[in-house]
Order: sequence, then C-alpha cells, then structure tokens
Amino acid sequence: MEIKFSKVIPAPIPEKDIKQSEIWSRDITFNSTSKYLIYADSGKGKTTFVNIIFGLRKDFEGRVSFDGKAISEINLNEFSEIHQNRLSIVPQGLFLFHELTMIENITIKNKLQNHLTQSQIDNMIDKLGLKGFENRKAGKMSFGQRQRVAIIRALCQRFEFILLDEAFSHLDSNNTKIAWELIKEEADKQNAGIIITSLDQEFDKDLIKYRV
Amino acid sequence: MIWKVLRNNIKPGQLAGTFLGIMLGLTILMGALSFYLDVKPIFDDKESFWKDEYIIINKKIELTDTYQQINDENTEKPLFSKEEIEDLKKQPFVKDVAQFSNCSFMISASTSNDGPLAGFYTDLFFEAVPDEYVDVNYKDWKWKENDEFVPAILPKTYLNLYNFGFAQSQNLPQVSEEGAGLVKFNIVIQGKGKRQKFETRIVGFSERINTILVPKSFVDWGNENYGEDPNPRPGRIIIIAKDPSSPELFKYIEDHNYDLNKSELSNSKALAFLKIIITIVLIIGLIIIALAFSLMIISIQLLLHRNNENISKLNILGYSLKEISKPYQILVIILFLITFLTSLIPLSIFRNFYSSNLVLLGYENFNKILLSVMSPGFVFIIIIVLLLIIMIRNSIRRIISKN
Repeated sequence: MEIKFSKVIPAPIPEKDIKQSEIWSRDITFNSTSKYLIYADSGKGKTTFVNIIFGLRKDFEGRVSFDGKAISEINLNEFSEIHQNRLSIVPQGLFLFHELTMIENITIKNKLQNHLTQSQIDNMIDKLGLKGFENRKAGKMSFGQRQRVAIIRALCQRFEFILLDEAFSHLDSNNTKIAWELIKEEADKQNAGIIITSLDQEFDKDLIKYRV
Repeated sequence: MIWKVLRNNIKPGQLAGTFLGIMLGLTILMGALSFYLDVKPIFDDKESFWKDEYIIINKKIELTDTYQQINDENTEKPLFSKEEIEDLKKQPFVKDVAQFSNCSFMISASTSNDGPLAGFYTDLFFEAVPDEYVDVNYKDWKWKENDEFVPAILPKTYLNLYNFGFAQSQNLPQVSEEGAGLVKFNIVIQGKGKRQKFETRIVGFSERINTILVPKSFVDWGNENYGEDPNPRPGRIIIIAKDPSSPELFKYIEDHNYDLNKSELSNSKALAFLKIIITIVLIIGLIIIALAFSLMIISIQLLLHRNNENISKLNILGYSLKEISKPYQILVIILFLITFLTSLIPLSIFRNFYSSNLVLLGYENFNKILLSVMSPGFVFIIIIVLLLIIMIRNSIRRIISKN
C-alpha cells in the first residue's frame, strides 16, 4: 500500500508550523514496506496527520491518496472496508467502550474477521501484563492499561499499515518495549508498514523520520 | 455485542409512550375502516330489482303546472329535454343515465267474465326502462312483435294498497303476490284509429319503482304503430351514480328542482353522514399516529444522538453503516410488529361489540372483512417502518460522516 501526501495543508495548523514541517505542503509517499516515525512537539499536528490518513479529518487542502485513489473519493462503505482490512489504528484517544469489559473490547474488533484465535489473544494479554483484568470494565482501568488494550485490539485485524498515535505515552519503558516488539512482529508477519507518532525523535533509530 | 454498546440510553418510558400512541391510532384507524366496511352493505339495498347505485329522479310538479295544464291542454308537461339529459350525463358523479319510456297511446285492461276478479276494467298506462336495468328474476322478461303475451311488473305498494285499503273496505278477497300473478288481464291498446288486443300477467312486484313496467320493446313498438309521438320525452330518469351518497349529486338535484324517492335519499344521506363521521374518526386516528410517529422520530434521534460516540467508535473499528444501523432497525421492526399485533386485540373487541348488535338486526357475515381491514393497517405499518429505517440509516450516516 502506498499513501501519498501531495501539498497537504490542514486547516488548523498555523502557517509558521507548516513552513517548518517536512510533511505539510510537501509531496511525500509512505510505503507499506517501510516503518516511519513522525515526531514533533505537542500541537504541531501529529494527530491531525494520523486522522487525515484514517479518514477522520477532511478539513485540509491538497490531496491524500491510497494507491493513487484520492481519499476524498472514498465513500463510507469503502472506508469501513479499509478500516477492517487495510488500516489499523491505535488512536490517541483510544476509543475503547468504557461500558464493555477488557475482553469484550478486544472481541468486538476481533469478531469482524476472527483474525486472531482466543489463545493468540490470551498470549498477548499475558505478554502485556493484563492477565486477570479480562472482565474489568474498560472504564475502570488506568490509561496505561487501556493503551495496552487498544494495542491488542489494533492487532486483531489484517492491515497494510498500522497507525500508532502516541500509543506508548502512558507505558513504562518495559511495557513499551514489549508492545513495540509485538507490533513489529505482527506487521512483519503481514508485510505491513508502520507509522508511529511520538514526541521522542530518538524512539527507534531504524525508522524513517519526518518532522511534522 | 454491538447491541450492548448501542442500546445505551434507551428510555423504556419513551418507547412505551410511542408504542401506546401508535397502537391507539392504529386501532382507531382500523376500527373506523372495519365499521365502515361492515355497515356499508346495510345501507346498500341489495334486495331490490335495482342495483344499489340507481337513483330515479323526476321533475317536481308545482301547483302552477297543474293550473296551466288545466287551462291549456297543449301546455308542455315537466318532462326531461335532450339538453337536460346530456347535461346530467356530463356530471362527474354520474356514470350513466337511462330513460323511462312512456306510452303515447291509450291502454285499457280488463278481466274475462268467468275468472277471478271477473268484470274488472280500467284505463291504464305502461312505462319501460332498458331491459338491462331490470334485474328481475323472471326469465321471460321480453316481448317481440306478434307476441300476444306482455309480462308486467307492478309496484309492491299497489298490492298493499289493494290488500289493506281497497279489499278490506270493500270486503273483497286479499291477494298474495303469487295469487296476483295468476290473474290474466286482457289489454287493448289503441291509437291512430287502430286497436289491438294483448294478454298480460303480473310477473313480479318491485319494491322501489312506482310504475307499471312492461318490456321496452313493447312500448317502443306501440309508440311506433299506435302512438301520437313515436319518441315521447321521458318524465323520469334513472341515474346510475358513481357514488349514490355523494353530496354533489344531492346538490345538483336540489339546484335543478328535481325530485327523487325520499327513502332512497335518506338512505344515501345517512350513508353520507356515516362517511363524514368515519372520515373524521380516520383523520383523528391519523393525527394520533402522526403525533406518535413524531415522538418516535424524536426518541430515535435522541437515542442516536446519545450514542453518538459509540457509533463513531464502531465505525472507526471497521463496522459499516449497515452493521451499525441494523440493531436499531430490528428494534423498530419488532416494536411495530408488536404494536400491530397488540392493536388487533382492541380491534376485535370493538368489532365484536358492534357486530353482535348488527347480528340482532339481522345482518351477518363479517368474517372476511377483518382481513381487508388488517391489510391496509399492515401496509400502513410497513410504510412507517420503512420511513424509520431510512431515517435511522441517514442519521447514522450523518454521525459517521461528521467524524
């Protein structure tokens, strides 16, 4: 999958920031054979960038395309299809259902395609230290725990790109390492690309870096 | 599991209110319809010779007409002109117009000297209407040239007049319908200086038409060969109305100073009133349904609005518009199906109530109509459900697109 940004200028970004950015108002291509780090300080548009790709923001100038097709021409049904099969996301806001338990939050995603088996899910829960919390309501978990649930949920599908919007912000370094390895492993298995946004430009030196 | 996320914030009170409103409206709607369909046949007189939508009119005869006709034999009688008949035919409420044929020759009837009613003699008149409008049980209602026998139909009132008035006061034997049919009368017609004898018998009694009817072919032939006028203008006319209870018909008759059988008029008027009342009831039913429907729309919109966030989250996970809409649509379908089935209970109670009263009056056979009432009710429900299904889909689409 090829995601192409052509002279994209999002509505809420000040002109000064656009000039300093390596993405806004430039021509830039993200390929699913590679892994990217998008870094910047807060408020420069990292989440805006992720949301534009995911189809959640349409208030921008310029053109964004998937394999040549402009996302402005992709309709709702096609986007549902893309969200199911091609793009996975760990949004900054996580978007968990607080009234559902942890395991239900994962299952509601996994049953769309039955991508993972129950034991694969259990294994991930175990690795990320969430064992024993399966039946706890998401609303009753800490943000760090919820972040890990959202990561597992994002891995419950086929994808060509996985978008991680400051997905490790509330994790300690150990959990960050485990989660990151898990994601890379799954992405490699699926020959998929990764786009991760972070405040930290030294997050992983193997990544292709862009400053927003 | 999606339902677990989407059913948040459902207010059972609101659902129950909507449910009651739609049930009430639907019951009133179907009740009024079923009452109308059940009661209408009672107003339509099925037993007469005439099909129900026939109305016989004539011109009113005023006192001045009488004076003029006494003073001058050549005064025109209040008959219908061609133009008047044409005008009638053009009216939107008139399906067709048929004319009475009058005789323009002299007729007398007598009995032979040896049979019953021996020595009876009277001058007479005949009238005729096109044969297809005579719905008579007598299969030989016809006459052709050289036939000596002419069948006749008399009004029932003539027989009553004789039996309960004349026969009683004169101490004569009373006669049944069958008995009257056995008496043969000799008929003599004359005109243009000629005369001819015929024989007749009463083959039936009419409840609704006040004249002595013979086959039209006989009257036409008589007018041709014995009459002063081969095509006399009709004094009475049959209107085959599209709807005998239509107010336009009454107004036309009033405006043109025509006259018609009062009992038919009151029947038709009663039916017209019934229609007005039922229309009002139907409108009330529709208003209640409309209000309940708006309440339903508002509660669904509110429900969707309150679940706005979860709907967006599901969409982000990859659930399609169709998959997210489905649980709400199923909710609406189930709710309305229950509403419809529940409303059949008060409907059948209502029907039992009035039909037992109607059975006492001698009217039966209501069973088939329930189905014909249920199906418009059901179609109505389907339309509402379809509208709601579309509305749900559009609202969810709007929520998703706003992300």
